[in-house]
Amino acid sequence: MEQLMTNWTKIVKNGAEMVRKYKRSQKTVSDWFFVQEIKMNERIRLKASGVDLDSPMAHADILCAVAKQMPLSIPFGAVIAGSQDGAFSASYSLINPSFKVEDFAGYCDPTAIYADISPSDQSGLTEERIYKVRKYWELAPYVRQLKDVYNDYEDFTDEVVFFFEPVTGHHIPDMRKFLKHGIKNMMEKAQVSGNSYGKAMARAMEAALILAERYKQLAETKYSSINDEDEKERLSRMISVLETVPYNGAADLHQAVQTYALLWQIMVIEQSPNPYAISAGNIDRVLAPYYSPENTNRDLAVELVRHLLCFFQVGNRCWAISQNVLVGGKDTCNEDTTDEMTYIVLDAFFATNDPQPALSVKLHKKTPDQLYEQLGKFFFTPGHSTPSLFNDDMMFRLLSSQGIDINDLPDYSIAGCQEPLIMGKSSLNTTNTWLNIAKILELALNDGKSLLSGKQLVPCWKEFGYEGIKEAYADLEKLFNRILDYCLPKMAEAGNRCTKLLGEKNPVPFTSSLMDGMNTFRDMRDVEKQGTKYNGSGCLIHGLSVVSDSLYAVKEFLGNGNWEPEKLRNALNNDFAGYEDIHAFVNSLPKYGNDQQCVDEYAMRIAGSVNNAVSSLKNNLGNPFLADWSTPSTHLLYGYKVGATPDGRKAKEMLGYGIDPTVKRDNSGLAERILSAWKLPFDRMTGGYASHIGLSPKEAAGIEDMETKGRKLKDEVIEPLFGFECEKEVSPYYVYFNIDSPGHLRKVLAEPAKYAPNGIYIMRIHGTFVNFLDLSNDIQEDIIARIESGK
Amino acid sequence: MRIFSTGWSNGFDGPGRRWVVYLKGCNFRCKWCANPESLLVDPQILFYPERGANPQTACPYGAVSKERPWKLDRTICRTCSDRPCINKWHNRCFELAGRDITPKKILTEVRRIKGLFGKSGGITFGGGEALLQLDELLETAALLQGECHRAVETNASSENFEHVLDAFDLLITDLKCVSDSTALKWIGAKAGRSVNNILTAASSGIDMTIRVPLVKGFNDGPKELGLIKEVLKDAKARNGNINIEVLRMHHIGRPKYKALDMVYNMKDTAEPSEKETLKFIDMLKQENINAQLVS
Repeated sequence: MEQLMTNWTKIVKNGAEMVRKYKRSQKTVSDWFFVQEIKMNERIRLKASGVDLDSPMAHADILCAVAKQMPLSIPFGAVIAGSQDGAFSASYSLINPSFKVEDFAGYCDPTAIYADISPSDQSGLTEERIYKVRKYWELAPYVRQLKDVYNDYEDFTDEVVFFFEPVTGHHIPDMRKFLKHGIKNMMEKAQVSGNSYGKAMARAMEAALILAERYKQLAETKYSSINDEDEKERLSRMISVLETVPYNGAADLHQAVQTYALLWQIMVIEQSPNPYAISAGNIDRVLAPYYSPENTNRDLAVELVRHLLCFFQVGNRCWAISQNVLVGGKDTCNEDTTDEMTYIVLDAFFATNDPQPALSVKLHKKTPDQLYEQLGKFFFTPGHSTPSLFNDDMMFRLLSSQGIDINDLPDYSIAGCQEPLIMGKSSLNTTNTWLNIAKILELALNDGKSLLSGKQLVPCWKEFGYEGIKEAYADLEKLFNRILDYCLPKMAEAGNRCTKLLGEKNPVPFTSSLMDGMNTFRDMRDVEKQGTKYNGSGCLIHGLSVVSDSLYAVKEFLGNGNWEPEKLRNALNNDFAGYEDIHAFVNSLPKYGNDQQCVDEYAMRIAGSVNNAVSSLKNNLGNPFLADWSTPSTHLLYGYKVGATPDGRKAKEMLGYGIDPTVKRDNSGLAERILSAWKLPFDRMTGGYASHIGLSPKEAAGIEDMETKGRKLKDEVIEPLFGFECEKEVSPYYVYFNIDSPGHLRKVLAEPAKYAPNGIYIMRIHGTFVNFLDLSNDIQEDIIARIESGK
Repeated sequence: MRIFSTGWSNGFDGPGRRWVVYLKGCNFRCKWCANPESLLVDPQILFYPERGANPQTACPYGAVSKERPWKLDRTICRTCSDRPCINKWHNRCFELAGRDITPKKILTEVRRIKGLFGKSGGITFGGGEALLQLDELLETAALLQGECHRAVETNASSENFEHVLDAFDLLITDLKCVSDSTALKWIGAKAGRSVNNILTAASSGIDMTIRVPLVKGFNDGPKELGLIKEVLKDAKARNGNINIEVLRMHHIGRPKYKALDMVYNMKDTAEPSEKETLKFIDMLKQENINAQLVS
């Protein structure tokens, strides 16, 4: 293969490695600061001219100013221009090695990122400069009013009964028309609308052209100042590509990936800082029209896609987290859509193996074995990224039941971890609210008071009509649901206030042009009239296994145990100290995840009732909240805010991850765990859910080739789990694996130079890849515990 | 049908993922048996006081001694009908081996779980000795026809052995030894009928796996291994597709003997090494008999 590789392909390949190396060496990330500074200056200028700073046109002007002034660079080796560095800061807690569960306070302060930047002579950053920008944004109406919202609900957020946030990012742009027709055409279309929002979109699109022109000039300058022939070739081709796109439509793969990168860059700059979890959707289908073996040999195509993958990285830790790229899936006729570009993207991913972006694969009954075979090497190479998997058959049913048009179904993709959205048509505000049902149960058990602080957070038993503990405990599940009903409207109200504020103060005309804005001529964040075909708000629900196991435990405690409820309350208040008999009793009870109906039925019921309660909430536009059972490492954080629970879990211990059993409580094995999971109402988990299966490499022991290993995983785990063989109406639609052993992971930590010589050992936590070596001890231990669980 | 357990295995007790139903009661008394709770037909309590949950409080009938070390009075357990230690207290120190399940219930369960079988998996009946409950076994196999792949594991000693040949998709048989004198001493029964039945099965054309458990001092001598080799050769000549597996004796079941207050007589017997086992496999290979080491 090597000798067949053309010289240009080699140059592109070498370049990809150079860019990767450069990104891995970026220890500080400060471009985002300059972007915020330019935005500040432009706002001051516009305000002085009497411009309404909340108007879409003002935001389009600000975006153009940023494109004109922001620092740009082209790293040695690049064949496409563009970077996300201006949009992301080095501050995402969960991948920060200094992260500690006990210190986490939630993402409620948009200006907290300024604590992550330090003065530097090299970049010209001074204490005064940082202070000035921080102060400006702290006093900006959006930040001040957001603070008011948080203040109004702090009783609930302090101990995380629920949490809420304004959502940037978390969407899936549809680049296809821009790639095909070019910005010129799209600008014309926006202008022709005659609509003021259309004009703002057109103006915002100018930012991409400004950026392209600046990159071209930079490439020309670089070209004339270097002697390296390979680099000259790369720059020369880049200049040539930028002369055509993004102004015009792309004619080949190189032009397509260049256009894609520049549009993405403007999109994230517009939403900066830190618009996490923007996904690329089915990149194989997006790029396929531009791949032709006659124009671009396959190896070159792989390398060009690798350059695009490198574009997604920000700094040495890949701070732009939860960016998902999908491949595979089916069409509206249930026919498979994988094609050569699917395998090109997979090859590019396998060669790259960086923490960002994350890879996901859509599967269905007719997925060809070849795809599973190609996935074998991802799953069974230690320390390699492993794609999360989606069940298209079930996902199509789920989305259809939500009213998604059949023609839009193949375009579902995921934003963030696993939340399904339609590419370019869904603004689902996915992480708007976060619900901790384990805390709700704690309040039900303790007369409305927190076990940890003693604060009265919800009404007491009497106010709910219970005489005392005996009546409350005897009716605990109902009481739990009533407290849920008490808290949820407050949560929705808080979330909606954030959403409204974001929409009013921060319109995003450029992003909206990639998000149905060219059809609706409205902003995707518009809270008065819908700017996208599909709209909703998300609610991430935490604590299914703990609540289910606990409700069952209370029933057994009062029934078979024949104990007084006061004794259980005392045991919980004392974290079981002095109540070892009770602790032993509740620990020995059956737990969800072992295919035992007596307790699984609680999980079924709780999942059902919470799904219904969340789905009945409405956002600003009257659309439902979506029940999303995902806990992106927040099961640790929220568990830390919950006292002891009747399932035997001690105070501050983590909750279960997503819909999974509590760690080390699913002792029966994988089959039983899957059988328990099958009972859950996946057809009503409208916002998605998280689930992880830790497998041992021994599962494929004795099999040499990766293709056979991939098929084995399909036959023995994936197909059974997704119910491809048994025609189930309701089945799981998401899973991710980490295939490793706790012993091996501990060796990797102890001797990284030996087990991860390049400093990267990729694992998955929820929807994102992470470098296991870069994580805090808390997160590392969570990964190890969940791999160990269920064995 | 009286069973002592159910569980899952993967690629071991037949193709693919298997739901294994372990029937209770056995006519052999193999000294190395890893499932001693399978031997008797009657339900038994496995008692693990070392698991820590105060076992004494779990039995209101006084079956557990008042003082450490905890002892279980099994005469009380035998007459106990409600077993509060397990049914009420879920006490981890107690495990019940022995419950009844009907063929219809097995069918219902298979229909519930068969999505996990994948393309090739299915159900395997093991034991104990499954053929001791032949009528219910055959009834169950008939109910499951068309539902999933069906396998049965047997010591092949039943005089009604041929009935299972048409009822199952896969037969897994043990070939422990060939000479009656060795068999009588180590397994408490003669080997002749098992050997004949194995050869009959080989002639029948049923999909078949023959398992040879290698046990030091029992069948690892040249004479017994030679006899085993000859039987395998004969079986292979009758059915070239027979799959042959060699298993090494292990001590995994030892804690169960203690939990049942039974004496484990193999504690001083070493497990065969991989090298010794591969030597036997090589010997078979010289006769063009391919065997796999599976544990």
